[in-house]
This record gives sequence, structure tokens and C-alpha cells, in this order.
Amino acid sequence: MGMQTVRFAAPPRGQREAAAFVFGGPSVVSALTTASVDEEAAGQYCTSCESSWNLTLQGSMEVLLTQRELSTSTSERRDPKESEFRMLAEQSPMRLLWLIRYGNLRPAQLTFAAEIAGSIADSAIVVPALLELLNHSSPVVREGAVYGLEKHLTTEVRERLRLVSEKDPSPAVRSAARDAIE
Amino acid sequence: MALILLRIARRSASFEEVDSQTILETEFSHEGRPDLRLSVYEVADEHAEIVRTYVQHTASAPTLGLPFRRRHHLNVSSLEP
Repeated sequence: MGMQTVRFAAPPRGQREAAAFVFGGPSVVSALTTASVDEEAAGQYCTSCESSWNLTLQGSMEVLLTQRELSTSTSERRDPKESEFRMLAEQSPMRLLWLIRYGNLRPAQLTFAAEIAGSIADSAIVVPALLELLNHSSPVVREGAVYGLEKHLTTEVRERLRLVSEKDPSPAVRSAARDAIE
Repeated sequence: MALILLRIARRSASFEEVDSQTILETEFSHEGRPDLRLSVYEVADEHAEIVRTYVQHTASAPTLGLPFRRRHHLNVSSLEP
């Protein structure tokens, strides 16, 4: 593994922690890390882009976060919109999957993010994230996950959806799963 | 001929939710704002009419961003603003 550039978005003024998400390979989210970055270091690493710093770290990593995602306070964070989920699915699918896994989205956001994630072509990266959501406590989220998974009907997905269609406590989710595999 | 107010839901599971905020955000919000797109229709309380309404609603998918799929329909005639 060689040295690669890792990009951190700049934290809001006065905020000293930047979060980074790290991909251990071309497709799999393997870790979530945080890195302390102070103003002085920012000066050293700041590039021409005000909203990001480039740091050089060892390992095969790819990191990208927007300033919005860096905000640690839920009240400060602007809720992502469905149109933004669609844009991420097209332009930066790994970021959408990161948001689904670690973005602390509310159920109403997560259900649409999950459905939109289904439009990502690469089943290998989409399916694990959406299968996790089939265990979510909110039936709305589970239904969204089913809609995302119906575009990735691998053998594993079919089997999971068959189980969901039989055993999920929500009639709506069971029905959606049945429709997906029929 | 009896008329009903038919609402087409975005998520069938919405109405199993106990959290009213989730229902509000899922069914009545879009892009972070109140969802002003059409989803309630006054139609005859007949099977064919309801199916036709659903088809027309879903056919506006390019506008609404709705995929074709079975949806939950609610008679909301008894609800008052």
C-alpha cells in the first residue's frame, strides 16, 4: 500500500475535529475514523479549495466529506434532500452509502436514501448496506430497503426478501418484499 | 355516485408508524418542505375509478419521481383539515 492523498473537508470555524470516512478497497467501507485537525495544521495543509484540506496518509484510502456532514451538532446540520441523494447515487455512490450507514439519518430520510441507493449499479457495494436496513426498527426504513434491493435481486437478496415476506412484523414490508421477488 | 377522497401513500408502512414526526416527514414532506404535489383525489368509490386514478397518478412519475409499484391507498374522506 502506498501513500495516498486523503481529503478532509474543512470543519466549521472553531471546530477542531474533522470526520473522515475511509474505504479500505475500491468498494467496501471498512472504517470510520476521526482526525483532530487544529487551525495551525489547517494552515499547513490547506489547499486552494477553502472547503477541503489534502492530507497525505499511508494506506489505500479515499475520503471525501462535505462541510455539512462535518457538523457534529444535529441542530446545525441541514437535512439532506432526496434530490441530493439522487445526485450522490449518480456521482458519488460511496458517499451515499456512507450516509446510509453512518449519517444518522432519520427514518423518513433513510427510507428514501435506501430506495435511491438501489439505483447504484454495483450490487456488491449496495446490497450489504441495504440488507442491514432490513433489520431497522422502523418499518418505513425496511420498506425503503426492500425497494432499493428489488433492483439487485441476487440469490442472497432473494432469499432475504423471501424471509422478510414471511416473517417481517410489518404487513406493508411483507407485502413489499413479496412484490419484489414475484 | 358516492365520492371519496383518495390519498396515495409514498410508503405503505407509514401508517404503521407510531412516530407522528416520521409519518409527517415521510408522507407530507418533500425536499425538506411541505409536499405540495398532488396525492389526494376526489374519485368515485368504485374499483375501476380507483385503479384509473392510481395509474394516472403513477404515470406522472417523471414529475413525481415515483416508480411503478403497488401502493397503499387510503380513504381520507372522514378527515377534516
